[in-house]
Amino acid sequence: MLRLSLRSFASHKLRVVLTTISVALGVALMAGTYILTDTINASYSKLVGAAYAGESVVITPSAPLGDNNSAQISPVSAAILAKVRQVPGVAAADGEIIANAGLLNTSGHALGTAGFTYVAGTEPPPFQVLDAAHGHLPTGPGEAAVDVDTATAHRLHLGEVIEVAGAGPARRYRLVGTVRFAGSSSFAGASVAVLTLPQAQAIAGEAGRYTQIDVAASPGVTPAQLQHRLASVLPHDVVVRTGSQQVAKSVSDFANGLGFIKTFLLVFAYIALFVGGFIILNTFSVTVAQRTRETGLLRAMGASRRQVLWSVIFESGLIGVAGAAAGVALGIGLAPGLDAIFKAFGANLADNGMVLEARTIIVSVVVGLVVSVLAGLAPALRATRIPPLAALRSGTGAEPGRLSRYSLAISVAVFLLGAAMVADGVAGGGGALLAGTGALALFVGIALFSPRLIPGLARGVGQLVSWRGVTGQIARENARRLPGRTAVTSAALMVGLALVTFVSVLASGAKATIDSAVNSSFAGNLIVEANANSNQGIPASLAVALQKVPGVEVVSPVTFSEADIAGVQGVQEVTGVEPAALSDLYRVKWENGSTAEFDRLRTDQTVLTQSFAQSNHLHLGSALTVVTASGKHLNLTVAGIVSDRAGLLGPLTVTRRVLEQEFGQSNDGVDFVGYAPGVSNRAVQPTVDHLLAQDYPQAESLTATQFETQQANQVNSLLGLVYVLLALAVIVSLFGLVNTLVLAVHERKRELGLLRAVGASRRQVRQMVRYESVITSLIGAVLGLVTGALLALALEHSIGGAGFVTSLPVSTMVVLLVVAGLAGVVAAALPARRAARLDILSAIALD
Amino acid sequence: MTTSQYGASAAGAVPQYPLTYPPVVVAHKLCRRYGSGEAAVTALDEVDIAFGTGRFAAVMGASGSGKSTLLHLLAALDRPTSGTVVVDGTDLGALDERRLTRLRREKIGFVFQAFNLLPVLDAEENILLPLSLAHERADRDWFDQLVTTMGIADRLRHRPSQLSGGQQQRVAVARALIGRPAVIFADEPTGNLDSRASDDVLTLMRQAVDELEQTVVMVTHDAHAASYAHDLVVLADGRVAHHGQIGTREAVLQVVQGGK
Ligand SMILES: Nc1ncnc2c1ncn2[C@@H]1O[C@H](COP(=O)(O)OP(=O)(O)O)[C@@H](O)[C@H]1O
Ligand SMILES: [Mg+2]
Repeated sequence: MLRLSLRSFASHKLRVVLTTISVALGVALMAGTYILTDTINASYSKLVGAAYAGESVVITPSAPLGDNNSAQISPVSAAILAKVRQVPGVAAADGEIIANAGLLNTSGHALGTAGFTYVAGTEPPPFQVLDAAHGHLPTGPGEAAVDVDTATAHRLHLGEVIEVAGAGPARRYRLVGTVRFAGSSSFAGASVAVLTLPQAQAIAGEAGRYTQIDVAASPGVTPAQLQHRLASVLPHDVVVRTGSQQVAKSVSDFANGLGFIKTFLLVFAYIALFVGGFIILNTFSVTVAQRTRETGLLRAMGASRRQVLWSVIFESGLIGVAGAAAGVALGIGLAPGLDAIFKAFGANLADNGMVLEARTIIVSVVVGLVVSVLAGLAPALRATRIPPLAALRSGTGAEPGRLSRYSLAISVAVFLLGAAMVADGVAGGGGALLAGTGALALFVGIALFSPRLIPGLARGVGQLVSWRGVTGQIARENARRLPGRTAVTSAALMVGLALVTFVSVLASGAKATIDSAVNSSFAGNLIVEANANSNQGIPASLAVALQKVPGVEVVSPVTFSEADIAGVQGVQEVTGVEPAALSDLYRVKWENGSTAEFDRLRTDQTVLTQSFAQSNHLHLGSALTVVTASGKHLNLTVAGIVSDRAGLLGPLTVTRRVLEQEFGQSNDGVDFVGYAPGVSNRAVQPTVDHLLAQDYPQAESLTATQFETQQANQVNSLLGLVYVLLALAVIVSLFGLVNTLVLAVHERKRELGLLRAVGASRRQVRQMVRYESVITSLIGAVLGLVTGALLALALEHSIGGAGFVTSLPVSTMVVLLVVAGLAGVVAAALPARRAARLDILSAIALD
Repeated sequence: MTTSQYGASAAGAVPQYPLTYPPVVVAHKLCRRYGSGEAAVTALDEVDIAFGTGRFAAVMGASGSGKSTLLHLLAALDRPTSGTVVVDGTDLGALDERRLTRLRREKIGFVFQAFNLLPVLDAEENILLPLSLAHERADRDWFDQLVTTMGIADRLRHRPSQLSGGQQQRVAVARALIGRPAVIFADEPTGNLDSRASDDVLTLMRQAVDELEQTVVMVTHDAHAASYAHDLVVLADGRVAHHGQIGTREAVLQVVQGGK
């Protein structure tokens, strides 16, 4: 049996190759993802290991809300450093600071390498991990150094002036050196401006404070002993770790952060593999059908059903393993490409060398194997139902299975199960995994049902080529004659296109929703927010500076932090506002309370959003106990409940002073600016922009329209990334289309010979194959567009509620149809050439 | 037309058959070899032959004698190793692939032993296929006349799978005739039919020649089938062993058996 399997491989090389590729592409993305993230993690942990070489113990501020939140954390004070130095066994202790900051040249252009940018202070030995590649480290208040990569990328010269902007107005520094971090030319892909410690503290807005205190132990004192001694004398708002604990934590934090990207990419890998499964299913269905007589003969000679079953499973498993092997090889090539994609979309990740772990290979092979065997199972079972009689009589196929009578019911059941899972995953709190699995079940249900739709769809879509006369007609009929096969082929395409449609409908809805929310909520003239030069909001002093611009009447700074609320699951966002100013420039709907009361909001009061209040059964007067981002405990009374269409406000809104004093949030998130009556934008925005360019290069001003455009651009750029990744699934399905067409050409050799004999030209034969391909791909596109759009609309309806504006991206959908048609033409190239090349005589010769 | 005439061919000399009809297909020194070196097979060996307009010719011979090879060469489905074929005044050797396709479409009709029809088209569409491929309109009168003659007027909307073998072959004959080709080639057109259906198809082919003024060259190994023809060609080992007019089935049998 095994030899038979291998021999049938050899006789259908193209089929095997195409099927293998369809597995390999999905595996490649998976392996590439593992390789990329492993590589980045490895280079990061190497860097961090070297960076902490000099520290026995490290003291950092505690993170009261856990590590994974974006709220600003209050740094360690100088008093702690002084205390540390008193502890016996401490040979040396020094503070360091590293904070997000904008890095610019004097004309305001960002000096980053696409990733985050930081400001860092120098440190004395033994903690200094920086060494100068050129020039020297900064020693005076006007001096700065940058990492080698940034200097190279922007052709910076020593002596040049750069600007660094953090928690206050930008400051200017003369470049005196380029530096390496622990021997590396960049800091894990980020750009860093190195200043003297006091200058770095000033930029970070943390004069006299540190983000970390490094401690070296005296000879004879182990890091663990020192950690113990320090922990017993220091307050609880700092964490004491040994150097190696800190390295481990840092590495695992980084890996967790990267985990998101990994999951994101793996989702697309699994989508591609899912599509690949359809192609394997199709190939083996055809193979089993073609081998009916052979299988009957084997059965007649005494082969058991089990042997037949295993021979097919063995073959599909072989495809899976071969596909996985090819996929890992492709993945090695793909990893740098993935890195480039992320760079192109603005995320910079370090990438030195390449790490191929055994886990990558094992997971790839297992997944390739499982997908192939699962997909090959249905054809394998069908093969077992081929009776020995099939050897004698042609036309005797597999006996229908017990389930085939219920195929309609099964397809509907699978579809409904999928729909239920999606619904529960989205609306019922079942989670993304359930929703995703449900979506796959939904696709399988549609694929099972679609053979019933194919004849009608083929006739409909086939009208497109009816003007070509008889070649168009034959193509259309060919697409209809084996509805099951056309269904699986186009279903593979449907999956990719449904997902593309799904995200584009969602994105289009999101953009429309943003527009409408901004229009209905924003009553001011300008929105001033952080630009690409900052990852940490805008300085609080900017609101004051804006207020002084002639023509500006109101400035409403809004700031964001997070809190842990007693009795509420998870960390919640907290918004800090100047109530009176906000009421002037931003409209919300008061469910309880009023603008007048809001304007008098006290520091022990909070306003909730309607959805948060409802889901936690809170109402006016409810008391809340919260732990702030800086670890303080706070009691708040609910003084109002609002509906906020534009989603500016978090579940909790407090006064900005509370956020500053109790949460340690010193930066603002956004400043709304309102002009005096009768003042035109032309009179104010240029002045504001001038101010920003001079002192606050980390911020930009946007009118409502500009803001909408900017938001739309952000949505589009994410959309672009998703499109690129979904393209893989579509490409996999095109290999399936090629495969199906090659099979069809092979099976219809005699028809093609006949056509040629009665006068069809090679061109006409090519046309027929091409039209059939286009019809099949358009059927997939139509199914995909409808499924994707409906799924997206359902999702918008369930999560968006009344506030979500639905918008169908009609032009995108038309483009998708056209692209699907063109893809059909491309997929047909090889099969059409084969069909046209057929020798008439061999095609019409009997047997 | 006497038995002694056929007797001459039995002696081995190929008689120069008096062509009283203008030739529509002429082959000169036609050779076709398969393979090369030791294993080379000469399927046709310097064959000179001509088929007259308005005649129904049967080509017979033992299995492997080269009948199909000859037909394929004459019908522009294959190219000779050497020699020339002229169909309706056109030298096939001078034509490129595109012109050959056109010639097949315009001047030649085909009927094969089996699998003559596209399963996805109905009978009418199959009959009109050569014209549709050429983007030409059918002559409706001619079409009606053909389907009436072939007795398939009430089967036009049926697909091949819904037709009997005999009906399928009649549709194939109509398809071959629809473009009024210069000549129709048929390779064992009744090979898969029972005797009644065969007789029907053969009668219709003869009718097409006698009443519709068409020309047919038919390969067959069945003497009864051959007896429907006007002329008989017998091949042996890739050469023409006999070429003459036909009489009864017995006469044909005698020639074939004698020619061996
Ligand atoms: N494609 C081919 N390759 C090799 N030999 C062939 C091929 N076609 C025919 N032949 C040989 O040529 C000879 C004539 O074959 P054919 O014309 O098919 O004979 P007939 O139709 O009279 O039975 C035979 O010996 C046959 O084996
Ligand atoms: Mg033959």
